[in-house]
Amino acid sequence: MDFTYEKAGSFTQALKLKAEYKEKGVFIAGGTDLLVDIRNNILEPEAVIDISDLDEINYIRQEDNQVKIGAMTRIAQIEKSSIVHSHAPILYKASKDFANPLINNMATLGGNLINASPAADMATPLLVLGAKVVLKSANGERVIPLEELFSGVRKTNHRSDELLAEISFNGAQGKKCEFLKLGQRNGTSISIASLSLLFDIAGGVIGDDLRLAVGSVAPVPLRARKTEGVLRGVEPSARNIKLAGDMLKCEVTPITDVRGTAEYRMEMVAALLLMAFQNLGYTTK
Amino acid sequence: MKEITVQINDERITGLVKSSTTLLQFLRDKGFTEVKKGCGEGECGACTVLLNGKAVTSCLVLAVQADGSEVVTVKKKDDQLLETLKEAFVKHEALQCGFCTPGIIMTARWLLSENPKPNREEIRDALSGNLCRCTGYLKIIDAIEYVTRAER
Repeated sequence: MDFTYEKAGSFTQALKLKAEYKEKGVFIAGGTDLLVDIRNNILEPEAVIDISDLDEINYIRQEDNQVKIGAMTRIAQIEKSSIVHSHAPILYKASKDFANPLINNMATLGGNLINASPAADMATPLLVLGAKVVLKSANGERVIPLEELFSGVRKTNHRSDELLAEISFNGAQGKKCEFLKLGQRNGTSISIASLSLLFDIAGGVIGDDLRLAVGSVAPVPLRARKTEGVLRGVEPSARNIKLAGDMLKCEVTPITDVRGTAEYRMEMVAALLLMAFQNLGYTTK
Repeated sequence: MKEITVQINDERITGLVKSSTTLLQFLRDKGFTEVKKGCGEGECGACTVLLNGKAVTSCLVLAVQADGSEVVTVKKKDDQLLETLKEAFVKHEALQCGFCTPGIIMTARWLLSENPKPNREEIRDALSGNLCRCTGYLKIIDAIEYVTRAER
């Protein structure tokens, strides 16, 4: 079935069009997930509202120590951004491992988040950065933690009249960080398990602000708070890292699918945690 | 149906399309069959073209979105770099069945416009969205690397 194509000339017009079509209208940003869903009849929209030319939500800005990224910003732009390089190396790493260059020239940050796949590669680095999202509607705007945006597999807490406008977080210069993703090939791979780790270390002890998030091992990209609790305030010794890995296995709730079994994912996400510490120079044996 | 006009290589092409028609389908319908249809969902890279200078999989772009845009396919004439790439692919026997070649050459063309002197690792990274089931990639990488040397 065909749909009506509407090109939004401005953010305000995009909201107006969405109010007109309500649930029957979908936004197209990069299109790399949406057009696959339409092709496979997972989505059968009445209207596709094109927001891809809205420069007002395509930017990467730094204000004091805060980084603000417009939802329409392409993954390739994030990968090349000097602000992202210096303030959020973990987001840079994730953008480098994202899909492939052809997809990254189109796919957007906002699209990856709103699509709300448990495997969304932009989600875990932004979760550990403590990112907030700005949702705008004709009636105003609200700011919520990214974590509260995800409500289930490909489900979000944003209302149908709202459009994701911006993602913001505080810079994490000088912190130790790692993003790891296990997939079947280097390009275009949906992760079997992924992990983002961010922490400070002082006097040989991990800081209380350590954050850990994991992907593809729960219905939503998940902040692993229990595992964070094991690692905060302790030395990054082989024993403590192993304990954290064991906790992480208990904390995740993966499923078996075409990419891997639940048991495999559980083992692999713990292995990624060990590998993350190894890559940062710690011994885990 | 909507009328669109797209600059494709050296021609301005106008046509009527449905909203759901992909840029890939539009290109093929207009005779640009050098753009290959593989998976249709952005996995294989066979349909790669330059859209306003950037390499994209044309199966994931709506034709209506490309209205007023510029598309370059492997058949574009008077593009020295593209010619050099094609010659290098022949010289290095960087293809067997050839189905992935038009897409791979367009990805390589884009890579060299962004980064004129990529190393082998950067070439591999750039090609990570293009599948080739014949060559094992080594000769493709050789061919692209050769162009970076020839351009010196």
